[in-house]
Amino acid sequence: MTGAGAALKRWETLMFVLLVAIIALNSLDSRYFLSIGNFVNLFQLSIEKSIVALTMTLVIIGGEIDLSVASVMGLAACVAAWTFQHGAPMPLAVLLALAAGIVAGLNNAFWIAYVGLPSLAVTLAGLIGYRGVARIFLEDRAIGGFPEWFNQLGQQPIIGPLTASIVIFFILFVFFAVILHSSALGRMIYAIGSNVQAARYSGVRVGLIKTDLFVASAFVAALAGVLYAARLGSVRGDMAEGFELDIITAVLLGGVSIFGGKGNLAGVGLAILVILNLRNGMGLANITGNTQNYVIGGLLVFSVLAPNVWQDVRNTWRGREI
Amino acid sequence: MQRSVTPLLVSVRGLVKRYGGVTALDGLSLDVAPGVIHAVVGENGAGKSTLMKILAGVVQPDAGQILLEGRNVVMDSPAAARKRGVGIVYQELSLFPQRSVLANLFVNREPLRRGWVSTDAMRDMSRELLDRLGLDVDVAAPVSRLSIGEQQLVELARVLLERPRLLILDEPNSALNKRETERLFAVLRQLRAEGVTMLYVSHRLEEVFAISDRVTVTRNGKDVVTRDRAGLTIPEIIDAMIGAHQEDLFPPPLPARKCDAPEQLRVDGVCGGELDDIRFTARSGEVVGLAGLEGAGVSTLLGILFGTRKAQAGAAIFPDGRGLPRSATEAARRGVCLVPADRRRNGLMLDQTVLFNISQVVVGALKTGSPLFSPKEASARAARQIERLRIKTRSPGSLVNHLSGGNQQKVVIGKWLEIQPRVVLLDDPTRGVDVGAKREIYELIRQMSAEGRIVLFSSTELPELIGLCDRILILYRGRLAGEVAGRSVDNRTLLHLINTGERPTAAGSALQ
Repeated sequence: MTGAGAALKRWETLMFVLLVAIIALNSLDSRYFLSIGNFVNLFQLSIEKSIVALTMTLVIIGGEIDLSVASVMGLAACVAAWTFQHGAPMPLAVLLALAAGIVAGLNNAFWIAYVGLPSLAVTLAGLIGYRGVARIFLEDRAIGGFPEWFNQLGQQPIIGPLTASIVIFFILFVFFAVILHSSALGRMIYAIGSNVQAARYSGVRVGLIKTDLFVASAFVAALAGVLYAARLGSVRGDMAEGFELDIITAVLLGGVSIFGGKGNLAGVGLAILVILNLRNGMGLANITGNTQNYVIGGLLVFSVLAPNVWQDVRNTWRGREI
Repeated sequence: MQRSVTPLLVSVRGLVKRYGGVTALDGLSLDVAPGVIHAVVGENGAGKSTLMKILAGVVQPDAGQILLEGRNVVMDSPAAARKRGVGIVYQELSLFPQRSVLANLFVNREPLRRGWVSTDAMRDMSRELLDRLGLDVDVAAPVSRLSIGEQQLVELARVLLERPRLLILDEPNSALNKRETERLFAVLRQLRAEGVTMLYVSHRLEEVFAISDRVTVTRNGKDVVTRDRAGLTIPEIIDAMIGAHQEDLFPPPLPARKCDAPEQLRVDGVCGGELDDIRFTARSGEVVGLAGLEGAGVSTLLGILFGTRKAQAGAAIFPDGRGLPRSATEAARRGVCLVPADRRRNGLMLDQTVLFNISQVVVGALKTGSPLFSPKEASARAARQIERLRIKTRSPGSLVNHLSGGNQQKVVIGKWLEIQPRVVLLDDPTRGVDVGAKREIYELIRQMSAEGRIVLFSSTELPELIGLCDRILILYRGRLAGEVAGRSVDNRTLLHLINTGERPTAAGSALQ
């Protein structure tokens, strides 16, 4: 029996059923719920987190974690705002922000892939350090007054009702799904997450692939940070603070194993939709944010427990048979 | 005569233990008189370690009984064994490296003074013992700062603090140098004088002779000889260890072959880890055996040739004319493969499918041209190897974890055959593999040799080496102790070389 695979499939089915149920309940609750406009708004509200969750999925499947993403988002936004304020044209400011993301990613990768430190510690240091740099750039000010085209990037629909951020999310979703599920690189990410030692003994260039993961993670985070700045129209030093936990929550809720090697992007996509609709529905039903957090937290515990409990039950049962 | 009237401390009757299809103990019996050092010797897989684990309560026997001073006891946990006065010093250290010597000595039974854990009390309680063991170290320092030999003594001290009546030592000196070994032996003799009974498991026969009073030889999970040491000689023990092997299991030795193929692999003065100046060559199509005790350097040598370990000195020339690979990736790309000894840790992604594992090397290491992964090609590879190696699996999509040891090993071999390796390094490939799969692995080795690949094959089972190899290199404590031709060496000579690093003096006729 392919126990783990079956359990995962069950988890995704469960998520899907949950999603349908939430949408059904919500639409009973409020007749505005099923409108396209509401869906787009809903998606738009935390589109930056959804974008970063894509690369976080790859990182966690690779058996690592990146806690520094929210700080990289903030750093990139601050770099863009600061260079813009100091006279750089906006396109250059955006490029510099993305470059800052790549530098942050290379820094993470160096300590993790080549020095061999645990990613939990390295990216925790990144979480603190990159935020610190962002605050040095902006101190307590808020910078705004970006060019019109930049603000529209985050607010104006470009394809039908979809904004640029949402379009970018879909493009990246397909891109990373192809990487993860149809490319050699994706197979190696799973291999490293399953057993890094065996991957190394099979000739996988572990250091290189970890570098790829952390650079991709920070680059996409920087991109998300820029998009966030465009949507808000102004940048502050504490931008996106605490986002990393929401992002990791979505990934784990999507059935990705925190121990690496298991999970897929479809599950994470479903989880993002579940969280959005759940929060939106609860909001429409006048349930407070604290209660919403409580529900999401419960769901997360359940998502991590469910496959393990299932496995334990099976093992106990087998043990009894022997 | 005298012994039969002495009440026995431990008596083991008809122990049976099976792991899956492998029988580790097959009705083993053992009587240990109080106050003696009783050695248990045997080849790898003869059941020594299992016996020790059962006595220590770590493993439960499938049948048989254990009598302690004539009374039937059940050792259903390590704690139960400890309570009955059985202490065990394991071959692998089981200390907490970051914690202090004292913390390790008193782990889980820290002495209290006024309700607080007291290091002073620990010092008082351990001082005399540590002095006696000659362990002169800073007891507040973390254990990791001690030498391996000192760590071994800390481990021994920890067990001795429990004042065991039966002390089990599982190859306690495998990590010790000569001086430390002598000190250990002096301590053991002193303990014997104080009435502690010891079961001493070791591979090194001279040392067994130096320390023990009585010797039991095990073979295939049974006790075959038990005698006072004074009535035994090393050749007698080796004969008993080998016994009449089921020769038909192992392939007959190769006929003498003309080795006119050019030398394609040359290893020149490689040092690194425990290795010291290793030199040898191998020809295309040759099967070269590597024999040695645990820690003699066989695995290190294979790791260096595969690029997962660094050589500190020396060089090598591979069939492609280049030197030692600098990484496993480079090795794989140059057609060098390693089937590692610890396949669960280093060989397989256990929670992935057979298909995933078999296609791993091609996908992960080779430059395939296209960045995309072809499921069709991967299925073809998996199907090919499943058929060729007769891997028993429900489907290519089954998890490797659910296969038997032999079939798991075939998956590891299969993933490497997919790259058509020119140099095949096999690190004890038949360990933990059932008899049928073993025979299939032998056939594969023959086949790889016939295809002109260079095979370096390490094994702990001598008949395998003798039956499969053109030549056998013997490593002893990191140096090349000798080289023998596979077809002209007998078990006895080989075992002697492996265990002592020297050829037997009297019966040297089997050698060239």
